[in-house]
Amino acid sequence: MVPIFELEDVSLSYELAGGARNVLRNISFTVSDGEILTFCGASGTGKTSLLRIMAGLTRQTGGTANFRGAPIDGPANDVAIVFQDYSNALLQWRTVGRNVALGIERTLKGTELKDRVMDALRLVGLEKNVNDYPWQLSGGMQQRVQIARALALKPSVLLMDEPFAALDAMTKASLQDELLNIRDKTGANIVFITHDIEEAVYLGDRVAVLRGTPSTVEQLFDIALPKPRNQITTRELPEFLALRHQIHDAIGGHS
Amino acid sequence: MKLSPLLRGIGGLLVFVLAWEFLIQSGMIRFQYLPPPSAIAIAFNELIATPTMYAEMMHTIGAALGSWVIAAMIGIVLGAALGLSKSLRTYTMTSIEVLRPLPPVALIPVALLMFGFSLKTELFVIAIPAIWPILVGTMGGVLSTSTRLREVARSLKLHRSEILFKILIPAAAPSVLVGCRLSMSLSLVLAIVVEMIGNPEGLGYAVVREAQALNPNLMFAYIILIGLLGVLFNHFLVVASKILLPGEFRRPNSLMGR
Amino acid sequence: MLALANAAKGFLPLVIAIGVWQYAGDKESALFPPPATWWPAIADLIAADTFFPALNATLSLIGLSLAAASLVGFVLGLVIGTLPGFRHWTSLVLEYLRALPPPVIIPLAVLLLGYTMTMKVSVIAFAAFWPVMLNTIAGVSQIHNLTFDVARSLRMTWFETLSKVVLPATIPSLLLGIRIALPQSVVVTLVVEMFTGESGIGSLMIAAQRNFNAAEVFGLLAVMGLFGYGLTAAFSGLERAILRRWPLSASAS
Repeated sequence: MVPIFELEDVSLSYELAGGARNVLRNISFTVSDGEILTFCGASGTGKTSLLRIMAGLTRQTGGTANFRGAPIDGPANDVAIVFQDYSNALLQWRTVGRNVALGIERTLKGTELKDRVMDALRLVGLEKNVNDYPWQLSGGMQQRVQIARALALKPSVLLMDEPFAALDAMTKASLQDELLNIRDKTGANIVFITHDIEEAVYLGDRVAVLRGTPSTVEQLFDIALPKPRNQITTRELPEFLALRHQIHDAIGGHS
Repeated sequence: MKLSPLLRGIGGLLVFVLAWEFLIQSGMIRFQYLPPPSAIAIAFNELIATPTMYAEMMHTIGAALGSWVIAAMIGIVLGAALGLSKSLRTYTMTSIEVLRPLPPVALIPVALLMFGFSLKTELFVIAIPAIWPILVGTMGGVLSTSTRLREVARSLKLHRSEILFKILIPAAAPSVLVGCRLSMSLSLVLAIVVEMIGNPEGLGYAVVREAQALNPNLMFAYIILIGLLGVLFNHFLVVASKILLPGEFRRPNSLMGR
Repeated sequence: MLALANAAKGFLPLVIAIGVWQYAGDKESALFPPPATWWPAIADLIAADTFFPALNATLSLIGLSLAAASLVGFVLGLVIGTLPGFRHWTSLVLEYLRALPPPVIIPLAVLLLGYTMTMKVSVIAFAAFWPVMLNTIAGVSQIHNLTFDVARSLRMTWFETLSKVVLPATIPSLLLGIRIALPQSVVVTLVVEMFTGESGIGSLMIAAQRNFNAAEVFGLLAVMGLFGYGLTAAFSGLERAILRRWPLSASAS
C-alpha cells in the first residue's frame, strides 16, 4: 500500500542577506493511512516549515516529498490545512457560514453547498453561529470555524499547525477531544504540530520529535495508549507519564 | 543585481521625465502649451537666477509659516484645555464639529471683504483652518493618555505639575506633532490658493500670472518650485520630530510612520 | 437622550456668538452684517433662480470628480500595492506629485484643456485621488501573508484571490481614503469655481465679494458650513452602513 506521505532526506534552507540559513536536514518519515502523527519540538525547530512542505506551500531544497506516491507540487486537492493564527486565516468580513463555504463554493451550489456547510459546522458544534461574523466569536470558536472550513473540503488529510497554541487550557482540552471525535467520524488522517508534549502524546498514534538547528527527526515514538482517550484518566496512566518523560528528554531536556 | 529602493525611485523619475520628453519631441502628444522637460529645465535655471522670485518665495513661506505658528499656538492651548476639561468639551464640541468641515477656501471672500488685498487676508484664510488638525491632535493626545498611565502616576505619588510635564506632555507629543505636520502642509496649500484667488502676491500669483501671459515654460518652472517647497514642508517636521522624539520611531504602530 | 442633551450644550458657544453678533453688533455694518440679514440675501439668490443651479453644479462636480478619483485611486492602489517592485520605482515621482499643492495645476489645466468640464474634473480628481490610492496601498500591504496562504491552500485562482480576498480586505481602507478625499475635493471644487468664475457656489461667493454684498458673502459662508457638515455626516453614515460586516478595528481612522 502506498503511504499517504513519504518524505525522504528532505532539507530546507533559505538564502538570506547574511548567508544561507538551514532549517531542516535529512528529514525522513512516512505517514500511513488512518494514523495521527504529531510533531513535537521546541520553537525554532522548523515544525511549521515542515508542515508547509507537506502542504505544498513551500518547496523543499533537497530530497523528495511524495503525497500518495506523487511528488508534492502545490496544494493538493484533498489536503486541508488549519493554521495557528485563526484571526488572519478567517476572512473577517464573511460570516461563519460563508467562511466555511470558501473552499467549496466553486464546485457546489445551492442546497448542496448549504448542507455541506451545516454538516461541517455541526461537527464542531457551531451550527447556531452560521450567520455570525468571526470577530464576534471567541478565539476557541474562531478556531472551530477554521477546522469546519477544512472539514467541509472532505479532505483525506488534515494538516494542523499548532492549532490550539493560542487558546486557554480548558478550550484546548475540549478541542482536543473534539478533534479525536471528528477523526473517528470522518476517518481523516491528521498530521498535527505542537510544542506541547502532553498534547502530542494525548492526540498522537505516533510522535516524531524534531531537534537541532537545522533540525531533523530525532526519534519516533509509538503511542500505545488505550482509546478512547480521556482528559483525566489517560493523562494519569503511568505509560503516559513515562512517554512524557522520554519525549521531554528527546526534545532537549532543559526546564 | 538589485538596486536600492532610492536608486529605483530615481530611476522611475528619470523614466517619467524621459518619457515626457520623448512623447513631446516625437510629436506623439501635442498640446499647444505643454513644453518638454528640457525647456522647463532651462526656464527653471533662469528662474533661480531671478531675484524677484526669491521675494515671491519669501512672501509665500512667510505667510504659510506665520499662519502656522499662530495656528499652532491657538491649537495647542485650546486642544490641551479641551483634553483636560470634560465640561469644556461638553460645552464646545458640537460647535467645533459644526465649524470644522467648513471648506477653508470659503473664507477667502470673507477675508477679502474685511482686509482687501493684504497679508492679513492670507493669514486669516490660512490660520483658521490650520488650527483644526493641531487642536484635534492635541486633544486626542491628551485624552488618549490612558487612565492606566494616570493611575501609575498617582500610585507613584507624582505632583500635578509632574503629571503634566512627565506624563501628559510627553505622552501627547506624538499626536500633537502629527497635527502640526498636517497643518503645516495645509498652510502651504492654502497660501498658494489664497495667492491665486485673493491676494495677488507670492508664488501662487506668479503661476497664474505666467499662465495668463501664455508663458508655459516659466509657469512650469514655478510649479516645480512650489512642489519642491511642498516636499520640504512635508518632511521638515518628520525630520524635526525624529530628533525631538527618537523613541517614537522605533515603536511599532508609530503614529509618525506615515 | 443624554447624548442629545450634551450635543445641544455643545452648540452654546456658536449660538451665543451668533446672538451677540445679531443683538450687539452694528446693524448698518458694511463688513459684518447681522446674521438676520443673511437669509434674505440667500432668498434673493433663490428668487433670481441662481442659487439652486449653482448648488447643483457644485454637487455634481464634486460627485463626478470624487467618483473618478476613487476609481483611479483604488485601481492604481491595488496595482502598486500588489506589485512591490513597482512601489519603489514610483516612490519619488509619487512623493513629489503628492507634495505639490493641487490648486497650482489649475492654471496649467486651463492652458491645456481650456474652461471645460474635463479640465475641472481632472484638477479636482488629481487632488482627491491621493488619499484613496495611498490608503489602498496601505490596505493591501496590511493583508497578512497567512491570508494569501489560505487562498493558495484552497487552490484559489488569481482572480478568485483578487475578488474574494484582496478586494474585500481593502474596502475599509478605500472608504477611509474617500473620507479623507471628500473635504479635499470640496475645497478644490470651490477653488476651481472661484478661479474660473463660471458656475457653482464658489463663483457666487467671489461675485458677492466683488459686489461688496457682505450679507450674501456671509450667507453663502453659512451655506458652505452646513454643506460641508452635511456631506461629512452623510458619508460617515454610509461608511458605517457598509462596514457593518468588518471588525471594528478595520474602520478606525
